[in-house]
Amino acid sequence: MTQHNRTTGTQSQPGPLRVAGGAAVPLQTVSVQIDGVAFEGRVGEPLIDVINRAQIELAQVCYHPQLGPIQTCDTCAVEVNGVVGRACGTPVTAGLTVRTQTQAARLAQRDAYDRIVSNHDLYCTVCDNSNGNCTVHNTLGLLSIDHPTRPFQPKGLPQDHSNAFYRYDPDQCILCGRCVEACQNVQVNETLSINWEAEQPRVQWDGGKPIGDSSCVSCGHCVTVCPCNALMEKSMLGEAGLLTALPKPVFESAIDLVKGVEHSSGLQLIMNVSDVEAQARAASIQKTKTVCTYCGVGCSFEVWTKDRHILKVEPGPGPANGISTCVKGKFGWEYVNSEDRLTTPLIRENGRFREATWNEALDLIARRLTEIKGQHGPDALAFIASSKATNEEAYLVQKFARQVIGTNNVDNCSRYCQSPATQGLARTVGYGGDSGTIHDIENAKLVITVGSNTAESHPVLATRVKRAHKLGRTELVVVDIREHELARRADRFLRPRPGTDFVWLCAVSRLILERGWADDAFLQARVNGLEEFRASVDAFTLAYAEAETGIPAADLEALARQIVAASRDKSGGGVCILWAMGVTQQCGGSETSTAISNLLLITGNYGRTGTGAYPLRGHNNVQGASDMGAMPDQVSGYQKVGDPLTVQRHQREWGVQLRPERGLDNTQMIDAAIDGKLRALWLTGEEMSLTDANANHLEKGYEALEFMVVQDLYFTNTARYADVVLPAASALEKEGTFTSTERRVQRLYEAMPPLRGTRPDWQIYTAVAERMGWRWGYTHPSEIMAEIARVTPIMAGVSYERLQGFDSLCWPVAEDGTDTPLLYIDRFHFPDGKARLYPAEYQPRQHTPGAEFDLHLNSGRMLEHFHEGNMTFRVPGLAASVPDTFVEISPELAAERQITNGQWVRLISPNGAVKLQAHITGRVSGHEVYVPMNARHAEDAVNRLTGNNRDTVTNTPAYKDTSVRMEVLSEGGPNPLPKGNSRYGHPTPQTGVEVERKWARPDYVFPGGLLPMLGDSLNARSDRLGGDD
Amino acid sequence: MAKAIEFTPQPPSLQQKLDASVGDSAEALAESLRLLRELHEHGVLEVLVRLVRGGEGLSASALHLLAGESSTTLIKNVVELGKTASALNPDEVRVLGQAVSAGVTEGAKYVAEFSSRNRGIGLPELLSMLRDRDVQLALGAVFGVLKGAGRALREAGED
Repeated sequence: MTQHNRTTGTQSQPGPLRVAGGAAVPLQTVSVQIDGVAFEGRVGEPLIDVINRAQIELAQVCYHPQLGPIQTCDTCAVEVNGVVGRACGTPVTAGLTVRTQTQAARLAQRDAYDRIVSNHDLYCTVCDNSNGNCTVHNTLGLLSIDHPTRPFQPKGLPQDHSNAFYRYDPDQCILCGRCVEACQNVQVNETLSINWEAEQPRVQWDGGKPIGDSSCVSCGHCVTVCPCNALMEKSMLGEAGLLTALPKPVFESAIDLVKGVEHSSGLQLIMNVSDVEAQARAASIQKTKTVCTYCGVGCSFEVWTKDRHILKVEPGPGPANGISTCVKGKFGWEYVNSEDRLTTPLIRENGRFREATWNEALDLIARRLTEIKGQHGPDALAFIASSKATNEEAYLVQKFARQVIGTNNVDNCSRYCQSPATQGLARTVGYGGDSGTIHDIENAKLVITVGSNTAESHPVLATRVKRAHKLGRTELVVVDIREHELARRADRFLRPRPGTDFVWLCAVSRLILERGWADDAFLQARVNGLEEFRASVDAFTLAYAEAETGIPAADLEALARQIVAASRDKSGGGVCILWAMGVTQQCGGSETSTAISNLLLITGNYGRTGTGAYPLRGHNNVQGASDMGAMPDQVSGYQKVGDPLTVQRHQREWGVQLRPERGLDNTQMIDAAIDGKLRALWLTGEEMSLTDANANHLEKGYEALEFMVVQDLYFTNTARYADVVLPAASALEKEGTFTSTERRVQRLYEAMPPLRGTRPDWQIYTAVAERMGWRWGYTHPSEIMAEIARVTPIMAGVSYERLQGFDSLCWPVAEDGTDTPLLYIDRFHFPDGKARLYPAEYQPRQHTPGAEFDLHLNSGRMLEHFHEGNMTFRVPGLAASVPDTFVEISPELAAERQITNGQWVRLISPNGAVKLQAHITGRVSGHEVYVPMNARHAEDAVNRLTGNNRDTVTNTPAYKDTSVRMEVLSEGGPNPLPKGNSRYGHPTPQTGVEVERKWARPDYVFPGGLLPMLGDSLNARSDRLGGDD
Repeated sequence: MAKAIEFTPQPPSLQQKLDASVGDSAEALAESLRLLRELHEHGVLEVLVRLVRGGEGLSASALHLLAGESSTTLIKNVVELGKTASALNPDEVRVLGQAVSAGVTEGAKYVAEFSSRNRGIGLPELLSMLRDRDVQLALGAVFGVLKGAGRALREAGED
């Protein structure tokens, strides 16, 4: 008689997140006997992985490769060396003999599944989740169960519809805990838990709150991993199935009928009917792979659509994100169907806009551009490419500028964000992009973030940092003036004075050199310029740093020690430094980025897994826009316009000679317009009038232009200044590629045809070019990419064939298709292959708070919105969560000035004034205030307050270097951040789903017992009805 | 010199959307109009309209009926019969079917022959029939069926 082993399984730490395509750390391999055949397994990996790789059919419900084993469902019972246990809970060792279909194993599998089904009302034919991928449904078929033993009973708990995007139905919940595991250990928001000890366990938010009142950030992980319809996207309900939108009474009758018949027919017959229905509905559901249109992490997933209705976003095999998404990527696509979408071109005439045909508009543009070029020369025109449009489109903008017009006046919005980082890295290591990928950040010993609100601006990337930190594999240091989510989790949180990062970086570098802690071997072999660098940091003593930054010298020394300790073991990961706008949007943005790279160089943190520099790119394709040469002094691939080989290449391909003079960048364009030198501007996909600094100054520039074309999805604030407005297609409505912050090029496919009246950007540029005498003849973006590959050495091997489906390539890509996820393994990108320590200079703030303007103004993003919010305010759920802008005021400042929540205040700078409501929070401290970029009304935009100070090298506006004064107004109002926003919630951190608490229940028995229905199913009413009690 | 001017995009009106759709589907519309004409001429269209109006009531009450005691029993019996039909081996059924039809033919011939005489089968004739090879085979088959059914009944009773 086989013993039933209550295998508790190992609670060993789950391995590194195994994302599709990511390599797990190789371990020792052994042979495992499964059903009489030998297979190869790695020591320590779960047995179920070996079984799945061998493609042996084994029923499993709660196991998901990206979550690791959680052991809650017990369905994967197999006999291992004579004892029945969970395949997921059995780590592979040498000499395992496994039999998956013994009588005892089969009994256990079916008993386990029986418990699951007593928790779940099986109405697959009328269920929105029955799309061929429902784990509970498919497992029923695999086990060929005809008659369940335990009866399903409703649990008496109401459905929770309080979240804007998804709902939870306890009557369908099988208590597998996948959602809890995902929330606790993948997203690491730590909102979900299961109350295993309760009489009727259920999934809980914040320990028992309604979802809409909890800390849930609607990232979507739980909905994605739910193996049935317990957690469902609201956009799917009543939409996915043929019969799922039946009125309730009809629906209930249909279910009753089927239940009545089931006794005779058995479940298999009914499941067959539902499979037929699933096939039928599949014909009207389109599943399209795309890349997220929002931030630079580059999440990719399938979008399910029914005509233009977006059913859901289904992540899974994306190389950057796997199952992960954030609220915008998972639930933020309704902007595509907004009523505000432009559907006809507009032409300014007699003081108003009138609707026009495409031919009219394109002819007008071609005529006017030709006229202005003829009258004032090519440099009177300028072009701004969109960082949200595709690589192919950015390439065409700069091709248009250089070939059709003959000017280098072309730029993109990286000017506003990471150009200084590109500069800093180009100076020191050669390539101006992330030196590795998310895989490296996951494998670091120490992650330092500087001036980055990663959890809100790059949410999925932050989840990898949070997970590695929670599992004890990575230390976390956060340096920022604001105490955001990542700062609260950090092992060490340093809060310097604004704009002084350069100082502490140099002080730490100096200390490391002084104490002989530097990586001398690395420096000798691979780096030039040590002595000059040493001299350049000589003045940055700890005492000076403490005085200038406000960080105690002891903390800086401890940080230095921590960095050195983490860098020591060359066989593993080292230090990764991530940075964002807190560093770059300053007068010393380039210098500070250089200092970061210098620090990494002297500690040997380049060129191996788990190390490197990571300037986090903001937009989905801002990396790509720069890669494609939408810049005044470079063409695609960062080739300088003056370089002879580059000129030759372009002569051959384009038939024109590139001009060697640098053109105008974004900020210079505005100045030139005001001076009368710039007369025409063609701007694509950017709300420049609100995202550039000093918005009032900007508006003067626009008004001075003779001819302006704005190409966008909506009639934006910027479009108000245009002479011609063109309606463009959205990311779901075209094909192309995006390049993420990992330098990862990925394809997006067309999920729905362009909205009637709109056109993809690349078609618009091609049409105007043709009218101006240049027949580009592109019929599909793949042809544009083929051309890009011809003229761009770092993209030589990029082609649409190599990027099909979820495949991706990290540039540089050699002609044979070999890509480079990790840079600098053998050499740095300089002629002699060595890196260069660069002696940078401190650029202090220009607008330190003083007597009149006594408050420091910080600005940036929020999780719920993307930048100024043109897209996200058009998603009702997001707009409800954060309805408008506001100003964060510290409790100290509020007490000092007697401000209450919701009070209206006016912030005034030398450049303008804005009226805002106050939100009192400890995220900011002292005399530092924070205003998010997302504002519903143009007059409230924070950039009315920022000024003309810029980074000394790249002209990036120093948004973060702004001072304001505050007038408290007498009006009060409701709190601008409404109740129900996740920031007010109280998460319940725990180590995971905590299945040991389920096993500790007195009524728990491992399935497959000798008595039928021995052991409870956790559906309290079902257990009361039948079974052993 | 371009001062900022406002514009509010009008989403396409219902009429515009309709016109655009009609433009796209001209041929399909022409054919479907032909179909509608036929249905109308035969009075089917009116019946359909009224059926759809009765729709929810129809399906709700139909489902309600179907879910009732006798209907459920009926459906279950149909399903059981269906399962029996799917469990029987078609080859065997064919053999038996052919046998039965041959037997019916023979029996009808007998009736035709002997009904005119107005007497039934006599004892000597019965005994000679019992010796007949074909009759013995058929009797064996009938007893085989009884034996199989009886065994199944006995086993069901024992469970």
